[in-house]
Amino acid sequence: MTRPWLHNEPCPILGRLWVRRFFDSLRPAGLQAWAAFMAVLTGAFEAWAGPEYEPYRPSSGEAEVSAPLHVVLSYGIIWLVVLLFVASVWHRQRKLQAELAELRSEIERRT
Amino acid sequence: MNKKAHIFIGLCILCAMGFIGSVVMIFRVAPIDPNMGLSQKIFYFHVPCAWSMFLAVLMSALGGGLFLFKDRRWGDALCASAAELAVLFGVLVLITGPLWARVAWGHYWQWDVRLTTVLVLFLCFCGVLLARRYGGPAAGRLSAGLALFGAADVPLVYISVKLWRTIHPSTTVVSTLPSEMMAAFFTSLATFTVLFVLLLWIRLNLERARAAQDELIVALSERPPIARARTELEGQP
Repeated sequence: MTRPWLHNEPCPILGRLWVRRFFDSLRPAGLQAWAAFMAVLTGAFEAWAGPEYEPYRPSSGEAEVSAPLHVVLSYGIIWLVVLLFVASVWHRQRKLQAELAELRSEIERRT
Repeated sequence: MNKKAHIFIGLCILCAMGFIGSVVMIFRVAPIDPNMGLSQKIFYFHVPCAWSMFLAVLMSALGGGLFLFKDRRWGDALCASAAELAVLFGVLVLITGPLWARVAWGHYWQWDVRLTTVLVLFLCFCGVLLARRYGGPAAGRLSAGLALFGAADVPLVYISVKLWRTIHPSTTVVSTLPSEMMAAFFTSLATFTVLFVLLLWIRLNLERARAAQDELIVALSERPPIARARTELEGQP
């Protein structure tokens, strides 16, 4: 539960010069640099993926896959993942509330 | 109950109704696609998931930018909350997409530009969460920087189907849909947007509780235990 960086201790990562330079380069003044970077990345992707790319065409001998099963699976998985997420948030919230109550009682005890 | 609780419950009801309505629209109103068959129905969940992922990524980058450059504390909370949703919807996109691809293309995965850039975006936001969890004192700033870096991939994902030859359907496919399909699609899209807002809401509540916990930890560290305080007082001349 203790978080040392809350007690105004110096940050070991942000204090380094190269990390500062990295974050400085992310400032809006560096937008042109970002645009240039994206242009280079786009060109590199195009050169790599352009001429040789051949989309997959399934052969006639392959077994048929069940479309209804895949539709039901995808819809079911969406709900399952969302429910798991909500349950995880609820669990974390309950744990935090218990810790908050403990901290408040500790502060009251010390006051 | 306060006003916020009323709005939250209203959104929950709207979301539930939206999901019932979208299922009816998708499976009853929208016709079966003559080329792709029943598997095309996955499109109505897959695209709204991708839309929600983009919303989450942009929210996370916005929060990260505000925290990094303007030093707004709520920006950090927004960045963290939205990054988790970006990963959540990223998982959904990367599950529903391959399930559709298996029926449509015969393969779960292809190293297609659209698929690869979405995977990169997803991995970037997994990195944001990892930096936040294990980044130590600089966790907030590191994850904010990474979120901004990851958001730069969004335009690339969007234009990838236009720039390169790809097996993935183009972004213009929505405008060519018949009216029944279009209605089903937009119902689903609106419902997923409401779901995104709700999930972001509950996740932001968690961040608010965390901020309160941080404040209490600091307050507690400023108050020495009573026994020690007494000893210190007694020891004074």
